[in-house]
Amino acid sequence: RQTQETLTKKPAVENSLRILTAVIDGMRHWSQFKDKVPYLFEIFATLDSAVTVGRHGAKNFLMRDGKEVVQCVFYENEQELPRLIRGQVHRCVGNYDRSTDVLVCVSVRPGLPSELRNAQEAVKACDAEMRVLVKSISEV
Amino acid sequence: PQNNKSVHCHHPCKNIHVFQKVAGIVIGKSDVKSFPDRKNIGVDRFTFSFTVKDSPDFFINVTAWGNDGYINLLSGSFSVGDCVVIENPLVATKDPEKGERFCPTTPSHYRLLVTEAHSQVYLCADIDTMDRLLPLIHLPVKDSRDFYSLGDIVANGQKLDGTVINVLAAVKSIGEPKQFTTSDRRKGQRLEVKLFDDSVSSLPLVCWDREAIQLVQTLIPKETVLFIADVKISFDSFRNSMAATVNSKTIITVNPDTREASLLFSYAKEASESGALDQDEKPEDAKTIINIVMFLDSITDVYTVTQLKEKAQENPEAFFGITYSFISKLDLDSSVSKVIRTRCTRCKLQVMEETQSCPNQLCPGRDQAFSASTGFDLLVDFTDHTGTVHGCALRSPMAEQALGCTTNEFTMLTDDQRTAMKWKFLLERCKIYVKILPSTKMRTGIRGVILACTRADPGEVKQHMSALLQRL
Repeated sequence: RQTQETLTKKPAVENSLRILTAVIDGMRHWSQFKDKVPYLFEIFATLDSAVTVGRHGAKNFLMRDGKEVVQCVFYENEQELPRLIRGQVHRCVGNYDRSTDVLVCVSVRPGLPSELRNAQEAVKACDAEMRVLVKSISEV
Repeated sequence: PQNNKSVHCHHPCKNIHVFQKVAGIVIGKSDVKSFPDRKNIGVDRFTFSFTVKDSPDFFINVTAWGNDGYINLLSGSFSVGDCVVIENPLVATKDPEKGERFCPTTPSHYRLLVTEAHSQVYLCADIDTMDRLLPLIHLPVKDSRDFYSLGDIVANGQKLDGTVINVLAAVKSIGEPKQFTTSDRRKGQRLEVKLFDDSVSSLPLVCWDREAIQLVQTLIPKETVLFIADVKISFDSFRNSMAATVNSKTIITVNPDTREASLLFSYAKEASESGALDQDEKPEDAKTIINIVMFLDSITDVYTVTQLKEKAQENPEAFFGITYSFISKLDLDSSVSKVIRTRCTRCKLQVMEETQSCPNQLCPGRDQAFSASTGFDLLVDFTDHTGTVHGCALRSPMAEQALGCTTNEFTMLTDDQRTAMKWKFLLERCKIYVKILPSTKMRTGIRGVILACTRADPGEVKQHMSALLQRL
């Protein structure tokens, strides 16, 4: 009976929304566990294309960090996409769609120099947290 | 019933040589309470306690027991500041497990019990004795240097939440006593005194006991200094300020005969004559903001969302902390009625803005004049890489501070402006000061109140992340 109790008391994996700061490569990697735990990503990357208009008013553009590039889309439902400057670093927060390899952005704005300087530490902390989480998921 | 044996070889107070007759000045007194008598079903026993002092260093608690008529008559026959003679009390050793928890802490190892059959308590009529006793009322019952200024209380903030300390402060104003009926039909009352000193212009002192209320109602505002021994300090999250509460252990010394009190008295007189006290009476909100800002300085512990949840599970007490999280829900652009709400100030029930009375049948203020307050009243979610805390309250006046906008200004904004205001915070990393209350009602087990929210400094976020990595 005791073992039963300890079993039921084992803490469930925290499954409320998380927001992970990541590099593009990391975002692609961690997105494979998205069916277990919901999360959005925050990335700091350089605009590497013109912003083009797609179907349903979608704004499409490419973001790059190092050698990795990701296709991004932003829908102007609530607010307009601010003017983005090619070659400059921007901050995008959104939902990465693994099947289409597209980051669906809900917030896009220029990155602040201090944010870029300091983001690496958040990326490391998020990676560490995700390693622990993935381990606990695979144990369940 | 217990420990009733007389102790013939000891004196209850040091200077009393014939202990069967004690003369002292009353420095504290409780309300009359009643309890069902276990031996006589259907009959109530009545009791009240008082504290008498007969020398600069010694004072003792006296508890009277008896029937309704005897106890109420006895209680009504003297007040704090009167000199009384107690004849033939029973002397009992203190039992820290029992009644002492609800009586002032005394230096004596004993307490006195007074009953109608054995004892007598009457006002002292001997002039010489009174001349000796009366100055004792102005001596604090604690070391006269062992007190907190109001500035100390506000600056220590959360560290003092729930503690019992001594306070030296001047009386700024005395409110009206408010009567109410509790949910179990008992009559209650509450009176609020505003205190001030040279560091803080206003801090509430709340009294619930009839005796304490009677005592403070006799005080003259701006001309009275109090040494309040063993007063309870708490953070009032509804008004967002620190507050002191008088309870059964508290002893108030009016105009204490100490150097610190006389300095404060001079300051109070000067501040009162210069009009400085009246000036800052008006911007109540501005003062609250100053209190919050000073209070926030005392909050230094940083948590992730998971750490907040874990701490709330381990520990049933409310706590304060900082989290560097993303605001993940902030409904500023839904209808104004969902952003700004009017609530009854007593029971906090949401009411219509034009309401003249509280619709809550159980509201403790039903028989008083209705008062309601209107302010921001939002539920906010915040999220970091470990999870989300849902439904944290963000209310006035903290909401005004965070949003940089008053409720009046907010109602004038266009929909687009409100959406823009929302996106200043939504999905941005913020430095959030939060009070976490473990809650059995909430599915997640915690309830949060946001005390401050600003966009986070990226350098501070980096420090927090580094600290997390080092702990791994």
